[in-house]
Amino acid sequence: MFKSVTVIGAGLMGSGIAAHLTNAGIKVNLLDVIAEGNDNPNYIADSAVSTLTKITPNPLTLRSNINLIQTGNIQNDLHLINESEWVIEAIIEDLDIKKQLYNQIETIMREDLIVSSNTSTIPLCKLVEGRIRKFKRNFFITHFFNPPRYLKLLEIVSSEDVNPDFRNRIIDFCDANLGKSVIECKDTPGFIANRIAVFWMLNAAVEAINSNLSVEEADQIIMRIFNTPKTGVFGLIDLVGLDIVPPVLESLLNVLPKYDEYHEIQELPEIFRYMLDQKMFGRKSNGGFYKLGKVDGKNRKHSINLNSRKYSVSNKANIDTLKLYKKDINAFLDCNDRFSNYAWSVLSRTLCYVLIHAEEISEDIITIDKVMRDGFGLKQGPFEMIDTLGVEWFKKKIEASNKAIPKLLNSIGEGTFYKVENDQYKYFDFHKDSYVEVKRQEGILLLSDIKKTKKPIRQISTACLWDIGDGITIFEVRSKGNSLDLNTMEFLNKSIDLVSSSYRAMIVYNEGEIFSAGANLGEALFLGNVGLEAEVSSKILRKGQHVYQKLKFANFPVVAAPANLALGGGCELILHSDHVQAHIETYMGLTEAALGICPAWGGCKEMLTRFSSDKKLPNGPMPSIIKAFETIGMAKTSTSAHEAKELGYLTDDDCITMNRDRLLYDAKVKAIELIPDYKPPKKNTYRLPGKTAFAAMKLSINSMLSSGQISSHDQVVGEQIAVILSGGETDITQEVDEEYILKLERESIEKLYKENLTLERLEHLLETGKILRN
Amino acid sequence: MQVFNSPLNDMKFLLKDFLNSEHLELILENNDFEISDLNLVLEQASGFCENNLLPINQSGDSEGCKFENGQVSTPSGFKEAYKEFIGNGWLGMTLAKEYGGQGLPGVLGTFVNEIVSSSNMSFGNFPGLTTNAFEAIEKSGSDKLKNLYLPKLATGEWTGTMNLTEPQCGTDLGLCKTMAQPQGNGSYKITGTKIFITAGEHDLSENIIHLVLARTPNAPIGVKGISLFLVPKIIPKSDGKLGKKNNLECGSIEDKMGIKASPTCVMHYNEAKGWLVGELYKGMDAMFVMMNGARLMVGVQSLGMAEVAYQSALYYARDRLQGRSLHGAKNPKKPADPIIVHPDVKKNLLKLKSLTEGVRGLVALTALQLDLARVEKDKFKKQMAEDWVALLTPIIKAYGSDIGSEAANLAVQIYGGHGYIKEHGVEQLVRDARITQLYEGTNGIQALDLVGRKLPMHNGRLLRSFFHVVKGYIEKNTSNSNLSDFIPALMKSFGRLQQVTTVIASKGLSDPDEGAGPATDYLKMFALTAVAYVWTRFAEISYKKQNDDPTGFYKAKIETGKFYMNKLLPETGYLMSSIMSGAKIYTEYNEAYFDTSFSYEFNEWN
Repeated sequence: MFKSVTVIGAGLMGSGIAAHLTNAGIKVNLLDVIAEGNDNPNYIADSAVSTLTKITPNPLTLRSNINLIQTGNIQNDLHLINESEWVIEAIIEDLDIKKQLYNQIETIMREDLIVSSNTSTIPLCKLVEGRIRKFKRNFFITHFFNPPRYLKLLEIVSSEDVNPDFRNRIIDFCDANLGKSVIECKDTPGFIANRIAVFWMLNAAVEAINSNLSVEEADQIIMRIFNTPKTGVFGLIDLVGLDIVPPVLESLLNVLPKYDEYHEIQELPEIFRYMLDQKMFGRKSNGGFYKLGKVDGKNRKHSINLNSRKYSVSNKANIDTLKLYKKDINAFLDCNDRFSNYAWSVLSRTLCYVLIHAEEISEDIITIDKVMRDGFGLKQGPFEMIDTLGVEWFKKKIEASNKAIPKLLNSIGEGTFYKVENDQYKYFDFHKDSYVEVKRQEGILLLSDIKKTKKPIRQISTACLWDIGDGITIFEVRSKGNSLDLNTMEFLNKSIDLVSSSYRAMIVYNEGEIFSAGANLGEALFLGNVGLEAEVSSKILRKGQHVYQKLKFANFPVVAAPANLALGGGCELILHSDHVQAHIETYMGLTEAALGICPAWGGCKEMLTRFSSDKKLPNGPMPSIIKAFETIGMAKTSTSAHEAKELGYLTDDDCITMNRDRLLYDAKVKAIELIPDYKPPKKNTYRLPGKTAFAAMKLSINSMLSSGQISSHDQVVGEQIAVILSGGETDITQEVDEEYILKLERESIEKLYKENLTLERLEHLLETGKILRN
Repeated sequence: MQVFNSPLNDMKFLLKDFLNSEHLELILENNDFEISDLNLVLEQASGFCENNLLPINQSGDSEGCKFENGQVSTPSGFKEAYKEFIGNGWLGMTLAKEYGGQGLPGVLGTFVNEIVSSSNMSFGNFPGLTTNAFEAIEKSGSDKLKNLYLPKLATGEWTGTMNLTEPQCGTDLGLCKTMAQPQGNGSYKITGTKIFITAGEHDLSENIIHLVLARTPNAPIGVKGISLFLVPKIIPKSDGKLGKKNNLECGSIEDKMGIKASPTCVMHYNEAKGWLVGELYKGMDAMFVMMNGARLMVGVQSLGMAEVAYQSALYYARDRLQGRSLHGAKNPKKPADPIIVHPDVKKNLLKLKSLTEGVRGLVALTALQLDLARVEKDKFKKQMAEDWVALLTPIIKAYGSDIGSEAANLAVQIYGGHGYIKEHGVEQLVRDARITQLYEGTNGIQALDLVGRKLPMHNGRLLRSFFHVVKGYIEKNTSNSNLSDFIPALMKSFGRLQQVTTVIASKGLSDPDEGAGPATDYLKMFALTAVAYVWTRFAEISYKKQNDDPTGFYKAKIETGKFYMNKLLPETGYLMSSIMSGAKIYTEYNEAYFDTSFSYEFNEWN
């Protein structure tokens, strides 16, 4: 574990890496050159830091993290490197300039200072050329991807000279503390990620232009074929920036032997040149292949016409064969229209390129698959893709297009690259020419691995209960958006009984894109639409409340391990657990108010409970009620697990895991720790002021309404939340229990589901995924 | 005999007492009419139909249409009647004033259509389709097309058709093969064969305007590559005068079960000149404007059939003397009592009457919402009105035609053997009404439209337009002691419908068969409940007026309503049981079991 790190170079990558180091609680020195003509010698680093609080996606898990950054300049402050354990160079990709900096570092560096470069194009052997032993021993390439907080992949290159102890330290730190998926690469051009991805991107783009496809058509096909989320090829280039393509390509072409397929890409397409000249780099500049443009005062996505180079409003591509063969990708690839021919051309070239060069760039196929998944968001890596497509089918199709079958593909014969054998998940090891078990590092536990060899204890279409050993179970939701419907709640209900009698603990966990979007509002909306709002309360709410109470007071510990979004009913699920092991990227919130409803699976109750025992709040019932009212009424959602703690959704005792792959393991360790002598929590009682508190909240609602901050329907919703939190008809002399608050939650919901404006909000959300302000 | 007197009292009751006066006023205000104008129009329509259309109904059926050398001639009297019909301006009654229509409210149009249909269903198809074609062009066509064609359609000088079906392509329009080659000058050359084209060729008008679904070269496969084209029989010059004959012809007409005076044509298009209506590939959208209108129109036609069936049956039940009442002679001076004294005959008559009047109320409500959607300025009220129409359209088409057909059959039943012979004209009603369950999308398709499209649309938003209205109405009237025969029964079936709707919606989401399996049962249950809502409102109004009721009109309404609520509505209970048993019975039934040719092996025989 490092305490302090120095980052040299306060550009996009340098400042992003610095920010992410602070997310891990590390002190950072951020140095850049002295800005000419400015009184402040640290101007460049200072302005980079102030920019960190403004950019999206937010590089900081908490705004206050920037206080951990100390700025400086190379000329005066380079000595600061010795106050830290690691120095990361993230300056311009110019070997000579880097060498100059290394000269300076080399002369003053401490014996045990680890040095690394964030280069993406310069081989390590060039960087250490002529350096002294100490430098060589301590030097690595640590290649972060943009944006460093969010992109999981980190490529590390080391030479034979490095101190293995340093190597282990840096890998462990980047993995556990920075949460990166650390890949050790050979010192080959472009390492693994760029070597494959640039080839893939360029082929996909050039072929699209040659096949006369629109950017939307190409992107839709690439998205479907490679299973990339949200961006196809042109979207991806916009994301990474077109400006990085020429230098990466150039460096690759310089180094790669003449027989490498890269040399088939003679030059960049005309339109690339044009866009580079116009500085149309993508999201980092003013638009690329896509950009936002105003139409009737509203921002609409525009796309460029690859021939005319003019922008027009982007329309969703309409590819019939893709729709026709939605579920059968092989049939699509075989259907032989211009779209499927394009798809096959890009797919076969890319996969063959990987097959041909796998041994050259990597020690094994797992690493390559992991790089492509973690670095580019593919659902499957290239080898996994070939297995899914069918090895035989793939071979035949390559033969049919008169191409040679890569050796690696032939070497698996009629097998697959991965297989399950004797309850072990194995991959094809090309060194040994045989299958070897896929082993995860200590501390990494994945449900997806468990699924490959095990069957769940019980399951329904939307949820599963897994036994992961040591008496520990996982309750996994796997519906669309991991939303929670009545069947899922009943399944949880039965699972609690089962765990209670036959197991020792439950972890609430899944590996979906998001933890849970909340209650399945479609069911409730439908009931509202047919005038059965009373059943929303009697069926859906009672059920949810009952099951969550049962979970909370069960005779075994429950650990929730969320990652990504946990909203509404999904957030309430977490609130009812004994302990939370949250991934750092956990975005949780009771967002019901924005939808015209209020938390009613015990969310109001739990927020009251935790704020009333919050020692930081002033005494008396009002401060905790007001805090809960602000949080729920404003539908606050955390932008990180750190912020979830500040908002009160997580408690001080809850823990945070930086690396997504370690989340389940950490949760399991916690569960095991809680099992001995576990006692369920005591039921809470409350003394609430009733009408006086309601009046206070109503006053603030009214003032927000009159100042135009909220709509009249927000007022209606706010008042219902105020009724619940104030305790309704009670007063401070009476003691009320949890059931009482739950009843208030149900009553409020029933009223709100009668409101047409609430139904409209719910409908809008379900139709568009967006919040309607009415 | 076919007996028909226009149900003017019932229609006036709907206009005056039933339709929300506020809404009706809004519509009239926007159209510059008074309610007295509406009465006048109804009376004139009634006179015209009874005198001109009813007399040629039976003769038209026995004579039928003739096909010779590509020409179709309509039965005797049709030409004269049509000339008179359009001369009086009946065709353009509800069409836009801008293009020569009179802009009367659509709700009035449905009443007139019903009267036309009762009098002569075959005849009604000519103006009916012309109206639908007018609306489709008005909604989607270019100004040039509108200015050239709409005025002639509004006067009825030209008639319209819709060309969807092809030999291989019925319900599944994506299979459409008719081609449209762009000519570069905005026009297209249309080539292909269309079948089942009502009024595709005839001798009533000088020109016929065909709206044809066709596919352009390179169009996407399936329904998303279909466009709508306007193809005139004779190509008009820019001043509207007739020019050259187009390259299209009628190949033959179908010999069919009923509506024999309405020609059903095979149309050949051989590089016929046509123009795009609406956007390329948006043919289905443009056509659906026409289809929705046409589907409601079929419901109205069926209602007309039910009315004439009821009146004919009532006449006979009072006229025919057979047997004696079980309580002793009711008519001792005559050799026997009229058959109306028998409870079963009465039951059948009550069924006819209560369904006819109830569905008429539902149609009127829907037509009013359609008018409202056109004039309403408030966004949400407009949406609510549109949602009601979209939701109720398949119900009115399917349930309306089911009861129209059932009514015709019940009329035959009341006539006994005399209904089965041609002389009395009631068997014609059975044959004529039968088509309404089939055309404009079979009733099975209507049920799928309701369950598969309308229910899930906007996460069930359309349902609000009906369920919230009825729920609000029930809540408002639960303490109305007059309605003790109505509100509890309505509540019960409404509650069943609420439950079943959520069950179908949630089961259907995970398994489409669970939606499709019970679809027709569900549509019927919905219709029965909607009609129960109508009857409850009729009763509520009638109780208020029963002290000033010299003719007994309101008393009759209440009593008819009681029959409906007690004898017909309980079918929702059976339907609910059937729906709740799910679709497994269908999906798990092995298709091989349908074969009857399997052989037994009697190994154990001894």
